[in-house]
Amino acid sequence: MKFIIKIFLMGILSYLLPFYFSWWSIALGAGLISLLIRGSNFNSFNGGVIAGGLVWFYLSFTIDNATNSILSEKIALLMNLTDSIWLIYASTLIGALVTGLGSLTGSLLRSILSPKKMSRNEYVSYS
Amino acid sequence: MKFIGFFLSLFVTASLITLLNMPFDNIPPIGKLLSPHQGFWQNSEKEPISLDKFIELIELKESVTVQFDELLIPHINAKNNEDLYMTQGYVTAYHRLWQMDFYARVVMGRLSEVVGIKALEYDRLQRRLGLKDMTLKLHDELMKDVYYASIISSYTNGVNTYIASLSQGDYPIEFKLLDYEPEKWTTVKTCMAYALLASTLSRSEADIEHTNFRKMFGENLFNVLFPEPDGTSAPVIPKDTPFDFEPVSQPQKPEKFEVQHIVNESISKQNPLNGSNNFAIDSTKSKSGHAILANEPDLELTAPSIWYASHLTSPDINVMGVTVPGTPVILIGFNDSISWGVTNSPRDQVDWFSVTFKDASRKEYLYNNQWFKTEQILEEIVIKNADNFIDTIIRVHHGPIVYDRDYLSNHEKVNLAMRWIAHDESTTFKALFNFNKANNYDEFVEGLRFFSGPPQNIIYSDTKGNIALNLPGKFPIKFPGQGKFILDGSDPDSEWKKYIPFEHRLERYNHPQGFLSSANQFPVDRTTYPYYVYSHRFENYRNRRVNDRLITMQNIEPEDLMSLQNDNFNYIASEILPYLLSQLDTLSLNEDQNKFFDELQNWDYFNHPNLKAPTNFELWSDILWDQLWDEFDTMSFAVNKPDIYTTSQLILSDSLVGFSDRLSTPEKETTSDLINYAFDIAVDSLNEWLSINGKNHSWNEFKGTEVNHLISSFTSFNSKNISIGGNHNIVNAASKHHGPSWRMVVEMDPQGINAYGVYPGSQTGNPGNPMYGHMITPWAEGKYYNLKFGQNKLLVGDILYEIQLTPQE
Repeated sequence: MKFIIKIFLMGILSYLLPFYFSWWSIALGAGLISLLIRGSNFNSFNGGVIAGGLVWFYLSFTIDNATNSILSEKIALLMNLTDSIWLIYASTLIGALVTGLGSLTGSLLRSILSPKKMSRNEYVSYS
Repeated sequence: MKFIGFFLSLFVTASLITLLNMPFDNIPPIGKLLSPHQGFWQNSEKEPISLDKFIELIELKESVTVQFDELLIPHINAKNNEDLYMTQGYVTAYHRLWQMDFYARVVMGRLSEVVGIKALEYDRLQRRLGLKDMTLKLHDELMKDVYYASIISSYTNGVNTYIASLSQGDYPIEFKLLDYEPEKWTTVKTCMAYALLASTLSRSEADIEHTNFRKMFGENLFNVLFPEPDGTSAPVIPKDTPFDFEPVSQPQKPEKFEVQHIVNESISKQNPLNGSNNFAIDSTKSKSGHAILANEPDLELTAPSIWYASHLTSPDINVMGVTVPGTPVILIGFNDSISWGVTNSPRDQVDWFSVTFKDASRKEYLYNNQWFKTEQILEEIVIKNADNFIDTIIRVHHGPIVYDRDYLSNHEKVNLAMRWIAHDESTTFKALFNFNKANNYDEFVEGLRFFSGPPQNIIYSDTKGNIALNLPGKFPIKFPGQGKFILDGSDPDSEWKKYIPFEHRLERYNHPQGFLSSANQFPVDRTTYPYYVYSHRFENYRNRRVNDRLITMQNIEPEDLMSLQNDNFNYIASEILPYLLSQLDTLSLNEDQNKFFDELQNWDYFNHPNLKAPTNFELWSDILWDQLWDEFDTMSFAVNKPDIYTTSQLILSDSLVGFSDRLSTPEKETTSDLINYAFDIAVDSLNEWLSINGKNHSWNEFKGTEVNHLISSFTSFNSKNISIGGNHNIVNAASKHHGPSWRMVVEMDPQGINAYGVYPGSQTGNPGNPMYGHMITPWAEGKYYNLKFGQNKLLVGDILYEIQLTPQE
């Protein structure tokens, strides 16, 4: 459940932040969520990949669909791509990777900053 | 361990972002470009217009309505002129912001800043030509006048308000692809169109090429190959026009006034294919009894189009037409009472003066047997991904030294100063504002007084049925031959001293023949006009075709003038093809050659898009011309080849003075040999073309007219293989890259005028807009749109989109 919530929150931030900040603010957003909400590094990365990938896929796909690929076809030609669909894939991949890595970094920072989670054994011995 | 993991992850993340946010050579930052929020996706538009319906503007005085019609032409309705021009700036920027930025960079010599070192030589030339200085001078003069200062400031504010409203995602696609951001618009940039147009239209000259040729081959051959027209064949001003004034005394030709130089390479000139047609008929020729005016400037076909159409209304003004984006005035258009249009009038507006410096420091130069101080200007050019370049430009009293040891002088120590009318103070802006508001011919002529260039044949018609042609502007009074060749900069007698008074200008107001026309031809019968008129190149075909047609046409309706604008008659072919065919040895033709010959034999000389004969003629005549003047290709110095008209005349009179010999063969060819040889090569070239292209050689396919984006590498923003007839020297002047950039026909009905127009492009400059380039096909097919003005005024049902701009509270 926490995993779903994390994905959801990272998705919201990935959607909103770039309207106000640079495009790579998606990494900061995801990092922040993983810093605040606990989760394994593996899950944090995956969550980021899913959230960022989904949002960037959704946005590029809907724009492309609504506009009949009017511009993506021209940009694809400029980049020597045979089909504008590759641009949606590329956008999705960038959104996914950058958000995923941001999320992973946030998760790793959390493990440094919160000593309680550093080691379960230590925690037990103190109690 | 944890620290290592974190820092490693941070490092990888940061590296990836940096990589994706970094440009590589000509590739923009890929992460930014592909971001759905900020990248190119945001430039994909579903609807033709995406402006907010209600916009608050800080500096606005009262509310303004803008109604966009189905062509996306804004009809701006303001309650005062400041608001009017501010809104014009705002909506023009909405459609064409990147293009405006680009033009400003062209004029200021700042393209290298955004496209890199490949534009350096271009920027250097622009600065050496003084386009930036001209613009600053024009700006400073205009800003002294409260009326014009307020127009220019308002327009500038409008552009800046629009820029300020943009987020990164809203920037036009070209900014994203070239990876830079729009900078603040300035009042100086609002004045850029003058230098842009002057450089496009009034820089045609061949002083250096002529000097080289004459030095190598002598005056006699020069006069044969580069004759001066006498103006008796369909000039702009009809031959029966009297000039009953006492001319200003002309300067004496000095004993020895020209210098002998050889200059290997000369600066690039305006394209000779820039030309235009305009014509007007009066009430006697017109079916409705109203004057009708037609105009089309033939320029390089670009995307975005050089023109932006708008309809400006305030209590003071009601004008519609086109202008260069970034400029707050209508350049070609009409109001309730008058209409006007322009064609370029080739006149020698540039002379080159050879300058002698005292020594290598170039601090003093020789003039009138004395040493005078030079002025030194350092021009710093910022280059993307490279160090700044500093160009040292020396100025003397004639003007800037364009050719010197740093620029195209081939170490020959040739220093050439440019004397160009366009460097002088210009008031052309004021002329145009006066045209926009003129109610009758007298008011129009008052406007003409301010017109200082670039020289144009300005055609006029009004709702009272009058028509007129004027060639206003600043013209030096020259002794015959002055400025055909490089002049001696140390000799005061070689300089321009006086200018032709406005009252002595070339003018024709109405004419018994019922029409007036111009098409870049020689302006006047030399024997009737007392002043020396010269340019190295004039049109000789379109003007005659237009006149031939207008003489026979009666009961003319606007549609007839539209047909004339789209007329495909190939005058060159009609004059020379029968002779060429008669010279062919037809007995020895093979099958392909026979077919080629038959296609030409059965041709009526119309360059219609679906015909094959125009292709055959183009190939044959081009190859003939190349072979004829192959001697010129071996010359290592700058030289021009004789033009098509002169060449045709020489062929027809069989007086090619030895040029018919092909250098690559030992035989001595005659003209007839050469014609036969060119024919064989033409058939071979056609076969080669057919095997490469795999389609038939109809004229439209072969010519392949294109409208290309201003950035040549943005190939997918271009329109290729546009099916249109015509060619250079044909009234429908659509060649491969040039053609009618705005076709306009206006019927001057006093009950409300009827106006029609079309241009090869679209109001929107965004390749991601569904209406990008939507007028290109109709334009190619010769169709016109009703312009929503006068009798066809914009009705509620025609409004595509409406916005309200209100003062911010």
